[in-house]
Amino acid sequence: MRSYLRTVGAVLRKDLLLEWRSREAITSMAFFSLLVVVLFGFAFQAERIDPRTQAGGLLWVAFSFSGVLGLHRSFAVEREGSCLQGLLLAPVDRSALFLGKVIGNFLLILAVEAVTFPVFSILLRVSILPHFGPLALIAALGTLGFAEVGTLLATVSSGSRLREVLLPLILYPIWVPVLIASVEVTGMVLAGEGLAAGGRWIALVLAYDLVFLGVGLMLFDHLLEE
Amino acid sequence: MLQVRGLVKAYAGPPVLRGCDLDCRAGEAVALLGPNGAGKSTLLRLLAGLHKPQEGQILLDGRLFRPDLADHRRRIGFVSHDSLLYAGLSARENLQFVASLFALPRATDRIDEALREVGLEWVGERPVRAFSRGMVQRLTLARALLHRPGLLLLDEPMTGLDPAGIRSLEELLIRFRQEGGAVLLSTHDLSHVDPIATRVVFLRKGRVEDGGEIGLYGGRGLEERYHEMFPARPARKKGAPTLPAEASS
Repeated sequence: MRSYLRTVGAVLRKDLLLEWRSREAITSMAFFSLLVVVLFGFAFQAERIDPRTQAGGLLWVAFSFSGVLGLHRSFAVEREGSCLQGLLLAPVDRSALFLGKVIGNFLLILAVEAVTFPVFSILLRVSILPHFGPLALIAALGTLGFAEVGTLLATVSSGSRLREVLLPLILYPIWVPVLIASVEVTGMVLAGEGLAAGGRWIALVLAYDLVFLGVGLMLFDHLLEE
Repeated sequence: MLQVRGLVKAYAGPPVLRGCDLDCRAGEAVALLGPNGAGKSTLLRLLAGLHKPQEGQILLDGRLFRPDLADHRRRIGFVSHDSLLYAGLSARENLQFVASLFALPRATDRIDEALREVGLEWVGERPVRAFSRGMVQRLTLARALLHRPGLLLLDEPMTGLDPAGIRSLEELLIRFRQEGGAVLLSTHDLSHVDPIATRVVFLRKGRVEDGGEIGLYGGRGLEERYHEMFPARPARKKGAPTLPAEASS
């Protein structure tokens, strides 16, 4: 177990260090996410958006588009110099490599969300601060599912020349249940209904996160072989 | 140390390896020789556990080679065409990452030693992105040797090295072999075979067709034998008519 965690930590540390040095992924993700929010701001400037029915959808559109950019970048560094091959030569449980990359992607997307929330709040005049705790929770749960399934599918698509198109094409349909649930709960929270109102949706996201964590841990090795 | 029996590997298309047999004992360095497409790189990748053969067996120390076993992976060091290095990390950080994956004890000392062995101790903190091709190749070798493997697989290891780099690589491989390690390397440059290899193997169309102790090929013997086995095709002149057989293929 200790060696497993050491491998997870090594992959995570390496990914974060590479990102800290280059800041390529976080810059492009944050820029894209904010750009989407700014465009929504212009589009809705005349009217106040409805927190219950509109705000959640707008936020998660920004998160999901920028998240895909992060996934691409995460595997671009592994393709450069065939580093993924280097990982395969190591005497480690390959599911630990998956977990390390999932956590790295998760933290990166969360960081972008943390920047996006306040800008969204200002430009679209939606009050976020009073709901910070529940919003952070649903953002984390939805993003975890995105990072899990995204990391898994980015492994599949990274070998393709059409990976930029292929990844969103296969990722979004599979991630749709979490997207719908996250949008619903975010809307409920922003409308002041509280987390309890979205109990079933949260359970769905939790179940999805657990299922895809298991699927990823089991399949990552086979996907790398292919 | 290494026994290969009847290895067959095909990607999309005809097999690249068609029943390849090979032995490599401890303290021995075997040079794989053959033209492009002979199957040298594929053979090395199979032995590194990066791909699975369709048929045949790989035995490591008399046991069936299983890439999923950590013990087996630890026995092998691999230098491929690609560097397997992160350009955004320094030389030392790259080796630290590998050391943590291999759970090496006293990793810092071992990293210092590996950098010294390949003559890169003075640029350990520099990012790999700033390295020349030859320096990257040296670091790739340090990466492969870091966990002290028993079997070293090298695919065109001289690529990008200057004469001094080639000389130090030769010395390093000879020392590795003399200390009981086994080396299997592919190369196109026959001038580098003699100082390193104890035996040569000629690979043609995915099969070992000939080979022997390096002493059998004294003087220009190795070069002559190579050209005998793989005669150079004359280059067709621009605008020359295509042969009917070529046109139909």
